[in-house]
Amino acid sequence: MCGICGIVSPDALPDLALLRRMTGRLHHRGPDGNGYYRDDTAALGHTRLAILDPAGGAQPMSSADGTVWVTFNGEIFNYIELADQLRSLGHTFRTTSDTEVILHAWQEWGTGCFSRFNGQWALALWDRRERRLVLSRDRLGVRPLFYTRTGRGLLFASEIKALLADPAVDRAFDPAGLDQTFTYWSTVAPRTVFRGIEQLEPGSYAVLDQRGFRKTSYWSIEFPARGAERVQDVQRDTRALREALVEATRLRFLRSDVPVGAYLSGGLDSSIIAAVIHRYTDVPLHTFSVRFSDSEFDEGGYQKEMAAALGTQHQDILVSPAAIADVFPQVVRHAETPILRAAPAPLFLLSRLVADSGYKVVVTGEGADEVFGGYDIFREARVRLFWSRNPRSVKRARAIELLYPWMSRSPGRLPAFGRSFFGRNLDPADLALSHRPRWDSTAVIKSMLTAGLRDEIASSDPGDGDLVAAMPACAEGWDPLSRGQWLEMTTLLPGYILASQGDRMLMANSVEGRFPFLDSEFVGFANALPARYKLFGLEEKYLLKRAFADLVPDRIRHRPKQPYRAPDAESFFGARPPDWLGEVTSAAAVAEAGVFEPAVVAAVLAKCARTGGARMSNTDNMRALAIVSTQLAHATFIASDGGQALDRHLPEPAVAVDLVTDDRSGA
Amino acid sequence: MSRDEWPINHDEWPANRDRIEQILRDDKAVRVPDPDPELEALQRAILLEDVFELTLSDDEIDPAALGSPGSAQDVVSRHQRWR
Repeated sequence: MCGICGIVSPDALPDLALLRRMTGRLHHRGPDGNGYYRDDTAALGHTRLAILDPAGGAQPMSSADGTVWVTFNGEIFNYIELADQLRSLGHTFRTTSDTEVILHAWQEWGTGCFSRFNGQWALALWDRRERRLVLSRDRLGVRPLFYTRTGRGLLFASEIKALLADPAVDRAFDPAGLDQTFTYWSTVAPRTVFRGIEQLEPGSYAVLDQRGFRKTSYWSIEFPARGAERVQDVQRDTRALREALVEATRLRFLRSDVPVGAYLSGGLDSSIIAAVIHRYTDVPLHTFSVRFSDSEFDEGGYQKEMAAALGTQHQDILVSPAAIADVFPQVVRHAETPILRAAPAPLFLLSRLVADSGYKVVVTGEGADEVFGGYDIFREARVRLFWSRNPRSVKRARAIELLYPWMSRSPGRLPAFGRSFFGRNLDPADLALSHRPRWDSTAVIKSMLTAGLRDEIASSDPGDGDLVAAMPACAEGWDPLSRGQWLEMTTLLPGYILASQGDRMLMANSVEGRFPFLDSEFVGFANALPARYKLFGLEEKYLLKRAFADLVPDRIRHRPKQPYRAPDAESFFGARPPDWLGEVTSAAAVAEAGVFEPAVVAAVLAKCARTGGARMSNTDNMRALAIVSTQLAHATFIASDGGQALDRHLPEPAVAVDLVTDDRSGA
Repeated sequence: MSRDEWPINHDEWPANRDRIEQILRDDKAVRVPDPDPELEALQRAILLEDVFELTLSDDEIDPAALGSPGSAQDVVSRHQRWR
């Protein structure tokens, strides 16, 4: 895994000093090496985390004839098969890296190469002869890729802080981006929370040449119409699922020239991945877990049970509320967005443990909940749909008592509140029926916004209507579960799970995450299944549990679903609030940021101070986190330029090609 | 339970009593019954409505109607005759 950046400047020489500053701000993504390429129109930068072909895979890398250059972040897991195919077509290779496979694949298949890649990537290809830049991102948005256009041209980078190295780049919040974040928990590509800075949509590529800038989707999230799924045989499908996941895991565990570890949360998904590695490879496994001092969040018992069952070398890190508060400014600096949960912070600490243990790569169970209907929001949607068939039925209303059994304020314990909350907008024709309660409850944050920001949002108004309108026309024929999955895979997965909790927290400590459940073959297989194979009644991951019944202990396979959570407001407002909190949330800082009404913020903070942040409602926790993280984001990226603390003198580059000065080394 | 003990293929259509029975056996295999009989009946009703695309009456969403495999089969079969 690596960091990439670049400048395309058609009317002026690309600024090499700027490129090196941008590269320096991505040092944490690739501390093993760096490099650059520049000609009279384009400059590409790269920081390298060396995982495949450490000796031969330095970047930027060129084609044999020097006409095409690539800077690449990620892994193409089927690069060996692609290389074999390309050799049979006459291509010869100088290295054993997947980077070189990209160059040959591009030369052979053009933009058609992306749909052949099974991997996780963000990359830029520069064709010198055609003066054409191509940006591409993997199907589900595992790897980030941002860009902005200035008066001098286009800048792109793995992280926004690298774009902000250019003083010409605007530094302001985007009202519509904040509106999305305070509705969906994250922005939806191409939007970000920063004005003028966009992200490439997952599953797409962009081309910049003399004809302008244009984007094309090469893959989209698809499901069959309900009832039109291919003929099913549950035994055959169970076998096929197992084979697909075993292969996806093997590709991600074995295709590495450095050791690969695994996260073990104590839940089903990471347990399956670890168990598959144990069963199907001969490599000793090192597992890593987060534990919490608060038993409400801790899953240590299940983690230890699974680690013992597999005989892994296991390490965990015990995270306290104070530790979360301590690293939270770094977490926001890496996440580059307001975050409505403290949950990324323990993952930042976990990846630090992984790096300190000498590992650069981990496989995790991320993606299973989206692909196999594991989240509570899908159970919630099924209950609401059931209720909507007769909203006046007292009997049907009781079904909400089946939801969220792990919550201290569960609908089972507070049924009247549950009926009031989940009984709103019970419209079975609503394509977003699954997500209305979450969006509505999150949008409470917007009641804290300043009048000025609300006006700006109203005048830009992407609203959630746009997201629903963006659903494919055929979504009306999908199973309601599939519609919920589409929304989840479009919003929370790329915007939060894979970003703020994924890539950013891993790469902050130079660790690459690999996600077998997001393998393109596996996702295609799972999406084609009937919904009931995923959510069987209210039982999540039906076929998955069936396929791995022999590898995962019953106690873990049958345990109630417990989402990964961390202490939120109580991390910041306990007995000893962190030193930075007062300044960041002061009335002056809140007024300067201009996002929230200072009086409302004062009231929320007073409530937090009074309670110590403990036993607060979900809404109050979100309010508190929205304030703290937004203020930190403002202080980090708008009041300052977001990267000064990361600016550093880069080590000697492994690749240094400047055609402007005709200086070549390492190419 | 090992993989081989799982109930097998339940994907024939239209549903016959065997298929309904297999769905109910799967339901029993994958979860722990709710101790509240009314909530247990709701769990089963949610499953049957989803798999067989039917809408049960309040009288049918009842432990007496859905509590045993035989009675649940009767309920589903009755709805299928009406389709």
